[in-house]
Amino acid sequence: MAQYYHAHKVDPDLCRGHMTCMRLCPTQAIRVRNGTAGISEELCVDCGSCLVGCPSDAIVPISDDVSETSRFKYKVVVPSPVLYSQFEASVHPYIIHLAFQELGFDAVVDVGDSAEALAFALVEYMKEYTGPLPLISSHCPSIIRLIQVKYPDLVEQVVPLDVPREITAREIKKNLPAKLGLEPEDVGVIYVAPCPARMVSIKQPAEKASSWFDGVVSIKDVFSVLMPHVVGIKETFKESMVPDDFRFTGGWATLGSITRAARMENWLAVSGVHPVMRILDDIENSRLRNIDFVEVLAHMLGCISGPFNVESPYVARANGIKRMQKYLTKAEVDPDDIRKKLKEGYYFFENPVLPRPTTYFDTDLETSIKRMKERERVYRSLRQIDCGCCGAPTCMAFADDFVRGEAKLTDCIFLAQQPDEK
Amino acid sequence: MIKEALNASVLEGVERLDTSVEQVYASDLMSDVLAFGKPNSFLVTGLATQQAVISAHMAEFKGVVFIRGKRPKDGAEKLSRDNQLVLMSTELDMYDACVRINSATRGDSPEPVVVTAQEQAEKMLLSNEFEIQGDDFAKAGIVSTDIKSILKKIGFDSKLVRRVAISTYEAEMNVVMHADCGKVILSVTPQMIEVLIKDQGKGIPDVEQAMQEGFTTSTEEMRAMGFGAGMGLPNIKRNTDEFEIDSEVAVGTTLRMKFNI
Repeated sequence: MAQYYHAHKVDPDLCRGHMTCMRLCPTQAIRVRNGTAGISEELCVDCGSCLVGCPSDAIVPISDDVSETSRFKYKVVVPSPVLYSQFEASVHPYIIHLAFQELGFDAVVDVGDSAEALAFALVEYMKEYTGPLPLISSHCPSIIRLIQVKYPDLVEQVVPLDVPREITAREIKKNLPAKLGLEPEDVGVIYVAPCPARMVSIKQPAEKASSWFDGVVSIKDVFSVLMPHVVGIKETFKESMVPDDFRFTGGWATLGSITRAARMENWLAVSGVHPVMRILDDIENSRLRNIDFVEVLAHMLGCISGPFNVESPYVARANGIKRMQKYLTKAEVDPDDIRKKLKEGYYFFENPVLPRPTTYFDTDLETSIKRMKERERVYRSLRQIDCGCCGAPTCMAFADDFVRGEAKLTDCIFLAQQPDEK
Repeated sequence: MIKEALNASVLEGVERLDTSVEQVYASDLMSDVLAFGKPNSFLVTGLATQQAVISAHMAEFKGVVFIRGKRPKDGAEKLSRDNQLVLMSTELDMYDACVRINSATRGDSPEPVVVTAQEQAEKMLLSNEFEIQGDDFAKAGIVSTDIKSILKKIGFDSKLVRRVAISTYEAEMNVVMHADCGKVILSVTPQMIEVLIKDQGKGIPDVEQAMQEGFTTSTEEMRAMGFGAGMGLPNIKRNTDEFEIDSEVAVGTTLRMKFNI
């Protein structure tokens, strides 16, 4: 089933069959069979927990090669705002722009302006919205996938507005080639991503045919080549060198950025896949009826703890806040222009976010009910200590696997060695 | 009797040969044994492995007979000894074995009991029980979330699952807020999902009044936590296809919620 693209895979030569990833996976997408981990394409939501946790570094990201961009005549880099937070607050954002230019990029464009515009568009959208509440932010691609897979009925509560990076890339692709007198295919727009989910959302978007980006690289990969340039430039850098028209607009990198930017009243901001799942359960149970909007992000504290980052999320957070205080230029929004564009559909996803429910049983309802009963029976006969030795994260997952024909009862070390003493 | 009918050799459990069994179940697929086998049956199978013995034990069978002279691999004998199972082996194939058992048992019951797939399906209810503790706000919502996850896995339409989840959640919250403890029984048939919630507690003096939107007896504290806005019962009524409420003061309340599939 090569249906779903994922930005990371298990390298069977490196995998030593640790159970770490299996236990870390929030959607229970990993099984360790015959000494090697396997990730279910259907269930994986690209959060990257396995990638960070693997003790043998056997889960490897699939990233574009930075040099692949040489085919473009004009190269634009759009860094995630998280990238800046990887550098100490004393590093002027302009230094980072200069470092990118030394690396061969012709321009650096930040997502802050688009983020501000989208925040305003969100407020406008919510004024008109009459459907079920709360609305759920569309910012985190990992959470969008989680909703598609595990909470299919909640897709209609996902805000159908696009994300700052895509709006930014679209602006560049639409306007820049004409300005430069180049063909659209000569201008390459590359994104620098803090997490595998962003890579996937660019390689295989959930809500459009294709991304506006031409390529995507991880912060980790970029950081190592960027750092020497940053150090070099900083040695001779003086603030007077910053051109008057330079603007640093920030963007959404930490939890709460969206709700703050949109100045919401009845909001919640939740991060981490497990806490998010609890909130989504609450929403499904129709609790949280008095909340208008939830910002949900897959990683604790927000994108600054995405798996492709180098700096500790707490340090990154401090860096980010300090840099904003020092250098932030408030993005300008033109309310009338945004209202007009919103009406024209400019900010919306091209396609609706559709459910992507997993079929546990490939059978008709009747048989599935029987299988479910069988699962209960199997589960009751297990020790229920979630030892994980069978290669499934919990006894319940093992029972699931058994009724779907993916595991043998003798895979359970207790059932195989010794029947339970009643 | 099975031993004689099949001319079988007993591998294990000679001392238990007089055990009586209610049914004979023949299959090589152990997942079917677990799904359809009834307790106190005897398994006829060609799968001569530990797996067969474990499955028979889990399905609460009395014993296993292996066909076509098969003998189980190591460990199966010890397993069946530990689990009080009889283990036999016959030279007959599965069909012959079943026919012989059938004709041998005719004396006891004149007609062999034939259970059609349809009848079996109707009896094959999924039935799960859950407990709710009154006043335990930290755990409130767990039962409805569990039920939701079971229904999602079966593959019910997500809109239907959500209606069940909302109704169950409201009912669960009512138990947490107003009762001492409660029991939830989820039953699923191919036609219907039913959630029964029975609590022990103070009960509802005036059910009609309680069904009105906005009517609430919850405390200030409960409302501060976002519960008890007096929407619970009306909300349940809205989301169910059939809804019965039965309450006795100082005894408890029983809710029966039905959802058509």
